[in-house]
Amino acid sequence: MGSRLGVVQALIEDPETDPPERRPRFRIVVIPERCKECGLCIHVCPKNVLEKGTEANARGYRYPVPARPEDCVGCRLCEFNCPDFAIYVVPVR
Amino acid sequence: MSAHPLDKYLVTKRLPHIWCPGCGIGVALAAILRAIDRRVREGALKPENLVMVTGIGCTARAAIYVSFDSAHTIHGRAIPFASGAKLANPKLEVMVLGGDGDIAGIGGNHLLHAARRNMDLTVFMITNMVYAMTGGQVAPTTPTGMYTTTTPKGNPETPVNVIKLVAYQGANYVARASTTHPALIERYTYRALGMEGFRFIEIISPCPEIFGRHIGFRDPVELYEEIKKKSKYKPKPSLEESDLDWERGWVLGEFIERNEPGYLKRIGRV
Ligand SMILES: Cc1ncc(C[n+]2csc(CCOP(=O)(O)OP(=O)(O)O)c2C)c(N)n1
Ligand code: SF4
Ligand code: SF4
Repeated sequence: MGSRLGVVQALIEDPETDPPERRPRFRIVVIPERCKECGLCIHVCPKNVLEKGTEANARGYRYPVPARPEDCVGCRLCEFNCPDFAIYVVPVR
Repeated sequence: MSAHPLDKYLVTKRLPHIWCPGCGIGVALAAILRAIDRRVREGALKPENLVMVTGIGCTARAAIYVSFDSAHTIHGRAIPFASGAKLANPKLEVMVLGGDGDIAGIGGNHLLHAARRNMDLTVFMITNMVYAMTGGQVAPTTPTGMYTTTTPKGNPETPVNVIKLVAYQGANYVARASTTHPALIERYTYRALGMEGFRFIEIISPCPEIFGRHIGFRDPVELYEEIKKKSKYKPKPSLEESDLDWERGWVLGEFIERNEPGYLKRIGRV
């Protein structure tokens, strides 16, 4: 799931085979090395898209994982409530 | 590789910043930067004309992280420094960001006089209710009865109501937001950046590490929830509703909106 300096992205399922209603419409990008594991993004998400991660960054913080990207409605609340510029949401084209 | 939408306004090599996990300062800064970005994209502001001036404290560290011009000055003196920058070069869009200690405590005198002059500045005061950087001492904005490291029996003082103070001096714009409502910070900043004269935005902000822990909140999410519960948005609130009280909570909203000439206009500089 991404190198230390890389970016964790929600897995984008296969547009060829997945039924359209299950295809993620948004990509949730986590920048692991900026995260401090405060948990605010997980807490504010109205659709329960994010989960506490198990992998730690170099400082020992376990960054969140977009576990259910297909449920994301693109409200960007995780992005707006992250104190660390560590998560953002972009539409999938 | 894609980048965070605010990366262009940040010195990304200095991230992660020093603020503790869950600290509201980063949320406030992000909302302010989004509002700036909207004004820049509209063509109303030029990035090369932006200036952020700060004093000393956790909040004041923001000057270190923004990619446009900034000055990290001395404790309490961000407003006079910013006034000087604006008077020297009226083209600049000058903002001040400071903690409640920095702005209303040691810098309170400067706040008073900049507001009275309707100085063309936008001042953001991050109210975390303590002097966070130095260990959680009582601040001039600490609500009565609060436990801080220097008020072990509860704060016996009446806090200064900064909203009223600035409003009574004739500031053009006075609003209060909270980091639990980032969209309000963004909206108020966006509006303030389109005005002249003295604009003041108080931002209630959780300090989970120094303030929250001391009063029994064990993690950032708990303190966030408490502050969110106490923050009540109201369209067009009156100044009588502007007190900060830990038990009763506080009102978020735009308390004052005037269109009086700013200081530069008064001295014929625009
Ligand atoms: C002239 C002077 N007096 C005192 C200090 C010590 N000092 C550093 S930060 C600070 C207060 C910080 O509180 P606040 O302004 O509320 O900002 P916060 O850390 O809460 O964001 C003080 C008193 C100083 N640096 N300079
Ligand atoms: S809000 Fe930001 S810093 Fe906090 S856990 Fe989520 S990604 Fe990490
Ligand atoms: S001490 Fe408080 S205000 Fe300062 S960075 Fe930590 S949480 Fe934020």
